[in-house]
Amino acid sequence: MLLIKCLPLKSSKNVTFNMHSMNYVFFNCHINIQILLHSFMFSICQPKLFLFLNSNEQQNVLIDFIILNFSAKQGDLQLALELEGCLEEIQAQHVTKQLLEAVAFLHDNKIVHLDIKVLPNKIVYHQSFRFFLIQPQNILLMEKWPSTQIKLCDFGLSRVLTNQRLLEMSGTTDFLGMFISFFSSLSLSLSFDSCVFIFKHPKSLITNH
Amino acid sequence: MCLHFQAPEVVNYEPLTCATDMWNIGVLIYVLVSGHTPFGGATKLDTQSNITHCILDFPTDLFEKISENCIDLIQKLIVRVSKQRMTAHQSLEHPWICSNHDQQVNEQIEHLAEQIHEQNFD
Repeated sequence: MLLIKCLPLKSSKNVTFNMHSMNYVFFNCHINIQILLHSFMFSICQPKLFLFLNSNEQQNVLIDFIILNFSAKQGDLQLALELEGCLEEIQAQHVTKQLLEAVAFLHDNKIVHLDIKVLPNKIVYHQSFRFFLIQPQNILLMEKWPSTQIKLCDFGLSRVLTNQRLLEMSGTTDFLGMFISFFSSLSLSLSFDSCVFIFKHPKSLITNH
Repeated sequence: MCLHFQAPEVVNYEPLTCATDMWNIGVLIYVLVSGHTPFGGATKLDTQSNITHCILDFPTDLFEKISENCIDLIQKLIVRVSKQRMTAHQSLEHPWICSNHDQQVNEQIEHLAEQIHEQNFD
């Protein structure tokens, strides 16, 4: 089991900036191939989805990340909420509408995201500062308010639906259970690992170009 | 998945469907407009029990300025029985989402312009 979050706010700018010339980057690792294929197709036709995929160690397929060529200039929704406490209703409406469009698209393609979230101020302040930095959330903001475009990312917990229900239910709930109980330690160490991993590879890819 | 955003079916180890996402969006709207989570309890167990019983309240100090449409949408998304939740397509047709965003922004800008005008010429 491996949990990958999106890049930390500060460093994501640098990394994605370097990769502007490329459409996407593949990293060697494992992934649930079904989700990969679905999401890869989205990336071409659905601009609202930011793909940052997760791996599943049980299935040995050699691809882990797809990084598209844009950077979230305004950070994520979490940061906006941090700065302002809560959003204006119009802003919330704007975000929700786009989010619903993205989710409707996902549901049409029989994918459940299962990890749409934003934490209010209170909870984030419970965590250490470092934890907060390595724990960006799943909704990215592309431009300045009020016309910002959002992107839904982090398909780490996403699943493909079959027959309108999650067939791998037992596996998923166990997975969720473990994720919850080890939430802080796991996501801290793993997302940190993955960050290092990402930092190392883009450069080598770019120099090869 | 974050504890505060768990749907009842996640807490109770029931099968997950698309409606699970809709619950998450309901909670997300609540958090965005109020800055607080709807089911936050003192402990993890409290939170989980709040979620299972689905006791949703809108404290007046937080929701004073929030429109009825918004609260209505939240109430239709945060529903205990997953089949009774609105789907993504249904909620895209909800009045709160449909109401013209640009028009509201324009009204705000006009209002601001009027204010500035008054300040400058009074």
